[in-house]
Amino acid sequence: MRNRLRVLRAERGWSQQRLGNELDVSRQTINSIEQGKYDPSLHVAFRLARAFDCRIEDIFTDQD
Amino acid sequence: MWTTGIVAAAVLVWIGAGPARLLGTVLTGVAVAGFLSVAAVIGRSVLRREGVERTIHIESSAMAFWLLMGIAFTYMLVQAIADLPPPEGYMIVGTGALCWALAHGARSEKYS
Repeated sequence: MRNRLRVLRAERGWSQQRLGNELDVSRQTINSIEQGKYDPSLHVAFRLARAFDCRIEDIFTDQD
Repeated sequence: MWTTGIVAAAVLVWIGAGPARLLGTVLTGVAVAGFLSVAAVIGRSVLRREGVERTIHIESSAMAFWLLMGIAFTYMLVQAIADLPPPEGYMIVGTGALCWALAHGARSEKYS
């Protein structure tokens, strides 16, 4: 699954650590999501959408 | 059930044993309880959090289990043919720890 997490994070000038603290997950989790190696749970996906004030579909795209 | 079995075994040994053996039983119980406590704390702290660590922990636990089962099964078959000695407890614990280390490293590599 593709995502725009890195772009959205850069637009706001947030570090991975800061975003991780915001979502109560580790920096490694943010890094894994950005690299496309890990798909977050629905819970974390909703928290991401809330943090960036957008929809989940604006962050994640189904590769197919 | 695990705890009940340990306690029952300890009681049986205590009923028909001298002070030295009783002390050994008590110390064994303490060690087992300590190990179970550590395992419970680690497991709960990892599984309570969201994120890639939880996935790594679950996947590496499964991988380590099957790795250890494969080694044990292989040894069981080879032991019957090659007349090898029965495995000691420290061999199983050491092999289990090695399996866990390998599995955890492999899964961490996948997600990093």
